[in-house]
Amino acid sequence: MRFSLRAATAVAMPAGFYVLLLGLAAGILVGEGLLLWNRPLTGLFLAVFAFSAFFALVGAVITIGRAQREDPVGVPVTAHDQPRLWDLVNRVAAVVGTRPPDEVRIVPVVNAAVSEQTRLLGLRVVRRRLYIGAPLLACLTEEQIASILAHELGHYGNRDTRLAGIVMSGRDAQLRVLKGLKGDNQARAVVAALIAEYTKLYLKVSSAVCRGQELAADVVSARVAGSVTAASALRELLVLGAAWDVFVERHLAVASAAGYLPNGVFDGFADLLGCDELADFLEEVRQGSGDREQDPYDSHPPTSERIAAVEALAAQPVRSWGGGPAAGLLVEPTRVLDASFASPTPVVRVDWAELGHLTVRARTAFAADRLLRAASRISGRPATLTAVLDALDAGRLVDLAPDGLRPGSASGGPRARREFARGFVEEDLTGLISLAHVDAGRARWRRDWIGDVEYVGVPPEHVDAAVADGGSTTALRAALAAAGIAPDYRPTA
Amino acid sequence: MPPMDPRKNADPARWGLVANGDVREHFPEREPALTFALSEARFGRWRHAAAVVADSWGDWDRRSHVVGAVADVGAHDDGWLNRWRAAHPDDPHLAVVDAEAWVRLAWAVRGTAPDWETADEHLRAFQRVLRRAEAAVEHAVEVAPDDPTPWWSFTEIACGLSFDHDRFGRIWAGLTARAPAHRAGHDRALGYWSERWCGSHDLATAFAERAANTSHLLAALPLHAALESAADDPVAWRTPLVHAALDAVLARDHVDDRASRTDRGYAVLALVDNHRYAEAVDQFRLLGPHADGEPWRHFPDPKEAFLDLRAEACLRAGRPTRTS
Repeated sequence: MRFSLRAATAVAMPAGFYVLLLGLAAGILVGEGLLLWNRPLTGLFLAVFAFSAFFALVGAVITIGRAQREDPVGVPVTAHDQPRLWDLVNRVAAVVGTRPPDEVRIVPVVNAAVSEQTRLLGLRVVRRRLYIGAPLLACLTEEQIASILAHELGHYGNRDTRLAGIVMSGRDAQLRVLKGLKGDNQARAVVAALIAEYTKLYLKVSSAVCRGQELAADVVSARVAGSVTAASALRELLVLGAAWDVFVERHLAVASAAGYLPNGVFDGFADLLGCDELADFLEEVRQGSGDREQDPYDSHPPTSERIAAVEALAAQPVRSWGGGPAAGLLVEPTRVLDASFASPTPVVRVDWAELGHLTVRARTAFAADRLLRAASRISGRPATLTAVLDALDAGRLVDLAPDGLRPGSASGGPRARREFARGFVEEDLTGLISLAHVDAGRARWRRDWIGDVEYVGVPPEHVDAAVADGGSTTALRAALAAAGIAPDYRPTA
Repeated sequence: MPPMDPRKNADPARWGLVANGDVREHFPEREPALTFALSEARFGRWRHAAAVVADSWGDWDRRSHVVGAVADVGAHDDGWLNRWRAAHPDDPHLAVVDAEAWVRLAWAVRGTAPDWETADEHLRAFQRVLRRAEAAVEHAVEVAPDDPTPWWSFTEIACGLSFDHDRFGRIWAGLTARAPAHRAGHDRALGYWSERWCGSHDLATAFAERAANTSHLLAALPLHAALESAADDPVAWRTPLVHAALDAVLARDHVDDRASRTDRGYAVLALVDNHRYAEAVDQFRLLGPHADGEPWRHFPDPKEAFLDLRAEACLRAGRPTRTS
């Protein structure tokens, strides 16, 4: 086994870190001792500072020793449940020349990873885990998956996960110490500044090592699956990553906050990948202009650089890995992939066709509910549409607005309070009337893949006249009656 | 007791200035008719306000002051405006007051803090009310076609809704066609061209220079522009343009009205920055107790800013020029 000088430095530096911390601590003790002996007053004055710094350092040393325990995430799949996926993993491992993992887990992110739990400073392996992102299985081909697996297992073949383990835990430990030293204490701040310099140097050396390992793993990937497939997989990872961020942020997160998640998560994701609204954006990412600004401490080289390196190899695949969709590797793919999403709160699973509509409805119902309860509080009657309209006719606009909201100027008079309230009441009343039309089957909401909402159906008219000064709800009541909406309408949750 | 700070406690009487305790930020309206009309409006009665506004027709600078004062009461509470409307729905003066009242209402729902210190809901409400104000202005322009006052209201809307330069140019043409040297309109336009709103220091300075060349009444505008750029430009008060404006203001005969007090206040800022302390003390003497209005209201504590600057000018001016 050969180590480069850089790698050797990266492994040696964590040890140097101990020496630095203990040396500093000893220096402080000796210095403070000498001061107390020679200049007791100054010594006493500085004692608080010195001992605080000393304990910060000792604390730091203890922090390093406390290694983080890995908490496995995702859904485990066994060889019994998913024979074809495991078969692919085993075949790739055989070609790479390394032992297959003990565990395969499916995770809801655009990524794949290997990890090892080791004992005795990385000399004995307890357990190897392979994580595969559900979006990759849903959207890539078999050969692209093989290429990605080859990259990840390539880290094992190069024996660099163990080395990386030491390097990475060194990185983690130093970042943890730095975080622990952040605080209001001046002594700690000085110690932290000293350590920060060492850590920066270490991060630079170690990220160079990590990047070298990534490029080496890319070479394995190209040799196993061929340059063309390896490059296409890297490119698709960028696109999937960008699309996935939009998907999670604008759809899954919004829906789960409203109490819903879709059935067939990846049918929706596939639609999003192919939709017109996002086509230009995704094409830009695919062409590489979406390549993110490189973080100097990132453990990965820029993707464009990796693609160029892989293509330069012009390697042919060692065998055919199959060009079919990777989802075909799974038994009951929809169930397995959906299961990788665990919502932190209880949710109702609904079909995609309903999801956007129901999400907007839940959000609108929340705002309408506030308005209804305010009207009920004013009139002492049940919280219905009529109670809201009666309150408006009685000139109670200000009392219908959310509590605790005041105009921006403290000297604003009654007119400013009323005008400020009008904006909120008009918005919430428009929501309530829209909701009433929706619940009467006269309108629906549509939400496109960008997340823009469109209301389709009978429009909520005459709201402005209802909230105007000296206005009237007569036209609004007539329109509601014509639409077949009961005066005692109240939305159900 | 701590020692007295001589910078703040020198006796202003030695320089012939009014005592610190007499300096005030607020003074009652001086015109008896307007004072009475405002008080009537606060009690919900519209007739005197309607009369005083109608009476201001033709003297556009005075009219903007009258309409502004009356609109302030209308933005506070509009019961009397509604009664005026019920009695004379087509009164053009009412339309003009109504438009400016909407503009002031927009500021009341927003507050006057800078954007980054203003809550989202206040900014959104500001824009919503300004759009309503726009409709009111368009109505006023229609029923009072010769009056520059609604165009003056329009410039403030352009500022708050960030109209582009072309669109602002059309509004500006509407105002200056009716009143080429409209003082309050130029003040608002300078706000539009400032870096804080829709322009830049250079655009604001160029606008002020054009205005100063238009009319001697607008000679001080470059001084107003200098205060805007002074935060970023250390020599803002020392340009030939500012010196020329300063000379023009100092050469004026003394008139004790709001516009000249404003110009003198700016002249004080320019004089102190140029180390012309004795002349600054002369201007303070003319200002008397008036720390009202501009430029003082741009400081967090207007009266304190006035007194601090006055004490500094006195001490640096040295020997009092006059004793009382």
